[in-house]
Amino acid sequence: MSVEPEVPIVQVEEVRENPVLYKIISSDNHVFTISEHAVKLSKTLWDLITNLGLTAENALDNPIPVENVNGKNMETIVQFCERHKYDEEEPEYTNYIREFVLPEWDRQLLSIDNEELFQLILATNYLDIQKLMDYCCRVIGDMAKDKTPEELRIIYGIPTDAEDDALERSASDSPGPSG
Amino acid sequence: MKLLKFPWLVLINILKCMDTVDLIKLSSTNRRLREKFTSKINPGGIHVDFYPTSASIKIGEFCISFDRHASAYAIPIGNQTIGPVTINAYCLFRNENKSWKTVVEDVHTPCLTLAQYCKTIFPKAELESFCFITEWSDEQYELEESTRQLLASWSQIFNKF
Repeated sequence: MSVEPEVPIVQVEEVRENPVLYKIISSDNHVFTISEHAVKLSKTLWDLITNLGLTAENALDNPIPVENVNGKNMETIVQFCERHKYDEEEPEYTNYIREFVLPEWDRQLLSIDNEELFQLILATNYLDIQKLMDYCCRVIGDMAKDKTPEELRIIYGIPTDAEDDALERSASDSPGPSG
Repeated sequence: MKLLKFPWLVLINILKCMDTVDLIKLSSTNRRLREKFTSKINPGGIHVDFYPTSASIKIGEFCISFDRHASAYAIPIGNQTIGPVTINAYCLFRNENKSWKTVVEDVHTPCLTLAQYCKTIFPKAELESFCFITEWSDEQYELEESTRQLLASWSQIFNKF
């Protein structure tokens, strides 16, 4: 006959259903609510929360303004962070080419046009969300698959060496602030 | 999208997510991209194998085999320009683009040219092995003069052989 332990067992799901929530305001004044586990994926936001001394009690009364990220990008970022908040930490990558498969849910989330993706990456870079950065970079890297150098030049908007040289010359020829 | 407008670290991150073959092609598009960005990437070690009738180069996960004989199982993927070499390429495994083969008469020169190019654009990539087999069963062979010269210049640069 086994003796049941008297220690109360807390279900992980119960804990997950009562998270500490934070409010974020985007550059265009959209307000987003994000859980503590999710916001921790952003080093910038978590540092801000720590430095502001926000706690479970006062978090919702003190929205965090993020002036470099608009509402559209913030929405994608919050969705991503909520989706991945319980993911296990990934090992450090080596210096070599990265081998990982982009999950289908994330591929769908990042199926946006190139300009939006560019802006999302800048926002992700500012908020320092490594996993989202890796996934965005994978999407951009995958655009190169099976393309010729000329096609790559078009997809990525890469100038020719001659165009680069011309730009450099015109920049050096233009008068400086005092001229 | 303007790839070169990304912050340095972000662009390096993007390049690290690319397959080696795409990275080699990309590096040929722009000098600035090559000098400031792709040169900072290490796709993995370079392995070069020379046999009497074939030669292969493997860099990172990508491998090209230059062979005098065709293979029935290879899937044609058309003309491919990879760095200084343009080949009529075959893919060795369906649904992946990491093992190519091409049928050529001079198997050694393009292989060495490509190895030299890869070492130039990826200075961080180590030449991990160079296998040079001059006898194959009872068959012996001699390198062509152009390959000898290329090999000599290469050995001076890398002091490996």
